Amino acid sequence: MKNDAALMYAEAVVADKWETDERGSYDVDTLRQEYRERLYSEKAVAMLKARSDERSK
Amino acid sequence: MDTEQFLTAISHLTGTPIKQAPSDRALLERILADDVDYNQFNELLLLVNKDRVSEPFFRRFFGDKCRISKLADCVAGFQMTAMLRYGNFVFAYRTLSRIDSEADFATELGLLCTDGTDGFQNRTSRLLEVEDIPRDDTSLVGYLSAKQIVADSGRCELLKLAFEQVGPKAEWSNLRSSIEELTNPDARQPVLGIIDNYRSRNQLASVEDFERYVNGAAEEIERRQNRMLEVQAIAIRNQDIYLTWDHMDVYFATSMRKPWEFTDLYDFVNGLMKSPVLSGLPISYFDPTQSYTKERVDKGLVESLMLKRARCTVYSVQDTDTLGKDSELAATLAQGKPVIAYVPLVSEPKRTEELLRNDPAALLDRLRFVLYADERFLSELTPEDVRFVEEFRALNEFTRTLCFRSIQDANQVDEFRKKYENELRRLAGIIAASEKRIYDSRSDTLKSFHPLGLQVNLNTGVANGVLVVRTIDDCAKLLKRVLTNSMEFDVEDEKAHWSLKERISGSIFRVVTKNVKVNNCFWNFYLRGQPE
Repeated sequence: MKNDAALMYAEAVVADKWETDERGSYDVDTLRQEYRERLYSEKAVAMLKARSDERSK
Repeated sequence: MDTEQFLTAISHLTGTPIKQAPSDRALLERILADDVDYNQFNELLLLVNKDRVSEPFFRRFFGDKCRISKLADCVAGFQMTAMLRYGNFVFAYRTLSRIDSEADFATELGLLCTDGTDGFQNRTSRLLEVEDIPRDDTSLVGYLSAKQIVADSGRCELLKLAFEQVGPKAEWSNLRSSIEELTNPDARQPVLGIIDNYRSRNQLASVEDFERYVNGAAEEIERRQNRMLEVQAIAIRNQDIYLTWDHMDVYFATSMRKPWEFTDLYDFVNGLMKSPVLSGLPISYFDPTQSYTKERVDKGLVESLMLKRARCTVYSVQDTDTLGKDSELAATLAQGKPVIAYVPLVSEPKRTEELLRNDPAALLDRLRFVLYADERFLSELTPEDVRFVEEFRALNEFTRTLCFRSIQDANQVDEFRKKYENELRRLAGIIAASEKRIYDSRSDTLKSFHPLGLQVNLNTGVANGVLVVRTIDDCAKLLKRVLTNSMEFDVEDEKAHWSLKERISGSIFRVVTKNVKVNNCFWNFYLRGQPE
């Protein structure tokens, strides 16, 4: 019975598992880079690169 | 004192039974006087077939003259010293009773935690002080907070890219398709979840409304991220300062992941260190809520160094055990240093009010913790309360449908609090009662049941017990005694062992077993070394 209740409340955890993984570096720049690589598809990377190239012209 | 009591006291002094002939007893009965001096005391010892003692030994434990009626108290004083220094009566008697020089005697005993020597003598002020990180910013030195903020920030950036791709007049289905194109499958769901959660609260909203909301949230997340970088920079500087301090008195062992674990520890450390009991003592302490390092390996090394340097550890007992802080407790005991375990004494009404000041997500987290940690949670609740906990889904739903976790919408929180005021109060009361059960049980476990509540100093073999306190005031009083070497104890003769109980905490600090086999084997290896 206790476990049933615990499981019910465990459902509230919906964060990306990356957020609760305590391995690796905790340098914010490194984390930002790591998360972008995890989140962005190739298309998103290409869009950002095009935008950056456009700005640097 | 009759002859039998005298013989018992001498047996306790030497740690070995009395082997006497009937004629010894007859002689003893004739000469047991009230006051004996050093020479007479040795004559008494020889009469009961025990080794004589040196003069420094006699003076330390019996004074200039030994009053036979007070012999048991003097022997208890010796036992206390023996337990503190050696964890063994026989070895203590054999070693100390043979030292003839006062200087050698003092050197052999070393500094005892009962000497009353002020541990702060000749200490000059520190060159650098740490910069205070305010209570509500302390969670920003946590690794999980950093990841949460970075993830929320990354999702905002990605949503902005999607808005750019679909344009202002887009339909929700276009936005979802764009997000599916722009994200990797493993990390996609939390981004789509932001849309679902926003729409569940704003059913008539357009994509344009959502874009405005995301832009506002992105600014707030950006501010939070900038504050995090500022706080981390302060905490890195603080850590460097901690590393340079020439004295380190106290290490705080704890485990902090959730934001409320940081604020709980901040409140405890500040409550303790600002206690009037400790005022005037220039205590140097390592506060983990004020320190940060980017690398896990360095964090472990820094904490290990602090554990090595600190004179004692204050262990903050929380809802659950963790490997980190339990290892810190064990490492301190194994060095022979005191560990004060603070287990909050929960007052249910007061705690209920404190819990109600938590944000709803923190309240849900605390509920999850007690469900995990309190074995008697459901059995202690009335059937009505069990049904209430199982059926009150609004809190779960509120937390599950938050768009971003690193920032809070104050209006949303207030609205929720007002709507569910009675339910939240009832739930807070249930959590408070459960926390009380958890902490009472942890206190009992550490104090009375758990074999590892008592661990051995690896250098000397002396058993070292955790000192359990339940209030900040007792914690301050005990910490003062630890740091000023003015601890007070009572020697207790129990069935299976002798114990030395610390007076404020009532906890066992040292023991000597009465199991002959364990005692003999243990000290053969500790005092004579390991065979090659």
